[in-house]
Amino acid sequence: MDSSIEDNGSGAIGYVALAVGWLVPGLGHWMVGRKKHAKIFALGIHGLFFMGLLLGGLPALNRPRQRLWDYAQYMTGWPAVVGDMVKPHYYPAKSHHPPGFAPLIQEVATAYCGLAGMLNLLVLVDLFMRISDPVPEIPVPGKPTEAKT
Amino acid sequence: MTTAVAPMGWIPFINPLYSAVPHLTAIWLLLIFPLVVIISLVYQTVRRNDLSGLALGTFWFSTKVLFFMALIAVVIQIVFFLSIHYLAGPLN
Repeated sequence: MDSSIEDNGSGAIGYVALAVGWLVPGLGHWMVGRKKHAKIFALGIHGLFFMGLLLGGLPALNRPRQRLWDYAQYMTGWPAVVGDMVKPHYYPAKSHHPPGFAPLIQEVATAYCGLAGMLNLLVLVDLFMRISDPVPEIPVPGKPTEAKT
Repeated sequence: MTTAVAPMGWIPFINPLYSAVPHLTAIWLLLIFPLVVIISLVYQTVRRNDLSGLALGTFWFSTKVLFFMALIAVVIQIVFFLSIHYLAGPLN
């Protein structure tokens, strides 16, 4: 267990960590002392989002008539916010499809970015559960503390 | 099929990859693998306090997800063919 200072998450710093965790995926867990978890969250969520961005480019973000994916992408924090700010410079609102348009790949790319946001939401819910109930788990002899799937 | 390349050259993360790599649609189903692995990795990390068995847990969870997705695909395919056959008559 890498959470030797896990009770840092109680109080106001926990809620700051929640906001920071939305803005930069993984940073919230880092702030409350779960550094190994934070590294994996940051790597996984940023990796998924940027793979989607590599596949679909900026047109994968803020797609017209697909607001739900847009909201999901915003849960990724800074990458979605920056991407949405940059997009109009390269793809104005009334622009045509990119050259060699492949709708299936474009949909997959949008889903990658959206699912990255949903994963960050899962991570934030986990963080919220920990900061709202910071009582450390008491190990019971003979009973594994690790959750099974 | 169009094999056009972006006029000013391809810029990663700005222009789509399919603008530079034609026929990318042919491998679209393979894109499920990194997606499932990353989702499994993050989910298993959330579920665990001790990360010692993370790699194995991620592998098994990914395998289970892919297996059940394939199973659902097969079931849907069977239902589709049966409904075509019995409701609309045999295919020509």
